[in-house]
Amino acid sequence: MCIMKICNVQYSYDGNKKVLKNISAEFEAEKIYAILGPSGCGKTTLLSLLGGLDHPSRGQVLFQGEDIQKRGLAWHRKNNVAFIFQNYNLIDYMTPIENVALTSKLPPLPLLERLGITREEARRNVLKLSGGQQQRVAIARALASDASVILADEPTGNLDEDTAAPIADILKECAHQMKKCVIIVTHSNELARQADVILRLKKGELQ
Amino acid sequence: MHFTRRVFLYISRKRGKTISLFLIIFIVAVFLVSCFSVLHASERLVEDIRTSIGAAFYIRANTEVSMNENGETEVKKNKVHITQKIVDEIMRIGEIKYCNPMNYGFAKSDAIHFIPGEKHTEESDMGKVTALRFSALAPGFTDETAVLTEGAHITETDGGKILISEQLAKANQLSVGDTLTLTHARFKESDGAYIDEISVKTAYVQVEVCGIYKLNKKDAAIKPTAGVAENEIYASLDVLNTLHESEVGVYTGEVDFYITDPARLESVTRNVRQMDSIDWTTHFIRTNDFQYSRMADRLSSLGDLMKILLLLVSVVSSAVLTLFLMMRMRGRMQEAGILLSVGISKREIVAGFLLEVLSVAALAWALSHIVSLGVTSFLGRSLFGGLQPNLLNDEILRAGMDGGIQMEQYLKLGGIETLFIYACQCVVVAVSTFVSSIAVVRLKPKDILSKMS
Repeated sequence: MCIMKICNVQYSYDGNKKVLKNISAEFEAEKIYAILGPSGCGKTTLLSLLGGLDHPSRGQVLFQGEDIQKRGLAWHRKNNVAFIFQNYNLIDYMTPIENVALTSKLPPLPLLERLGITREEARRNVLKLSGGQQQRVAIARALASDASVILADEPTGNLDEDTAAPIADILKECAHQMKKCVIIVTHSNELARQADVILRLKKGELQ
Repeated sequence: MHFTRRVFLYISRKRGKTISLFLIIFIVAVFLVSCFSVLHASERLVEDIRTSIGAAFYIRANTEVSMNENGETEVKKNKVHITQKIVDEIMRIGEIKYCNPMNYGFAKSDAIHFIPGEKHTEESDMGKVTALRFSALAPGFTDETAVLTEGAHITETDGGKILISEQLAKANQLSVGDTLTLTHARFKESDGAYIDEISVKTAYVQVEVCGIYKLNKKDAAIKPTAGVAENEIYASLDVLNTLHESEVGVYTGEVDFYITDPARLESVTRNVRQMDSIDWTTHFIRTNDFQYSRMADRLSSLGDLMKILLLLVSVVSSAVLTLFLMMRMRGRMQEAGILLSVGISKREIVAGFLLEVLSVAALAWALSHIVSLGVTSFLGRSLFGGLQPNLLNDEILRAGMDGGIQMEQYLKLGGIETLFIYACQCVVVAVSTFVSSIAVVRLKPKDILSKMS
């Protein structure tokens, strides 16, 4: 079932340099999408447009058939999508529980425990956790929002192979068991191999 | 998570940053409140000085002092006295606010043993009586050599009232409200002794002690009992009339005329000197521009200085606060980006920042209010230390109150003024927060997040 769709999306900086050129794609629930491509090809920009962090210069981004600008981008970010960033983007003066509670529509502690964060770790300051643990907290925050689409920008980019593998498993679990649509921007072929669909972006166009 | 919870977490977890913000707002608030208090005090004081009695001129009959063949001093007074008719004529010149005629005499009492002076005997046991309309306007009180410590001053509506010194009250166990009988006396020096010319007493008057005064200067000169400063009795005009030592409407002592604006003193006295009804060969006029009238200019300068200081502090502190908040906001760009990415609106983010700053500011202001009381008091003592003007105005005179002021009262800000200062600071803090939040408001969430990475 198609949950998100982009139709003829263009994006350019200051009306000159075109970053994305007439891109169209559909995204379904229960699937993992990997967007691959060289640096500067517009992967993160595409993810930002899907997540409502910016709006396209031309074209539409639809969520369940409705233009995301209709209810406002903030509303879209709050209710439809959740982000996972390469650098975790956790609020540094909060504990994991409090970070998850930022978006929480679900109780934070069971989610964190499910992702391997102990009760004691859940009450520490996030900066006192390892990179892998911080990324798990970021995933927990994304899941806590109960959004249908999870947008992950290089989620294993800062992690070593041993730490990255379980994160990839969690993302797979999100898609296949929790029935989310997971869209990952990555350079990692290892992570891309685990995706259901791979989209290759080159010079602003989908191959 | 509600934004108020986020605000609480930030304030309680980022203690260093919270304390820095607290200190900046606290220091600025203490400075502003203290400067404003001093400015307010100087303005109120100038206003009170301007509306109080600022100058006086005195008319009195010439006294002729000569030595008799025994080498004794004889004081001869002109028989020309000032009458109520002349007083009324002078009052008609205008600009004169009060007139305080005085009669002098001596009195004795069975209830009083005066402070002994030179060659004290039972016969010379008498005190000088200054009968007047307003005791608060007597030169001793206006030049602050005497201060009322208990009770009330004599006013024009009083009858049978006296003021005595602290020492005299203590020596005779007298207090405010006590009544006693005075009889007439007439002081004279004869054959080296001090005597009472009136040997047979025929006039008595019952008086009530309405006030007690303290002398600020001790008179070291050796004087007869009647001349000892502590023995001076200030009485209402009727007291000497009843003792047949003066007549109603005839003033043997000086008559003092008080005006508000010292600048008008010269022109008023010039007009008085042109009056033909006063024989200027037997009377003279003396002016007194009270010391405190000159304080007004000093206080005005101090007020101007405070205004400049307040302006400078306001501008500099607003700039420092905005700069500090901008730097703080720059450090919180990532947080803003994260909050935006989870769907929190810019309005709610800025509201959170505003609540954070205002919460810290509220604590700083509460403490600054307490601390500024002490700072203001210190500043007040330093800046107004030498100024203790005895302000006399209509209300004080009619109520028989003492005109001595309490600087603390002047330095204390009223509720409305205090609220006004804190409201202004609140506006400055809010504007500074908004200005520093412009970076967050203007950037797209994507830009914030890309700046972060």
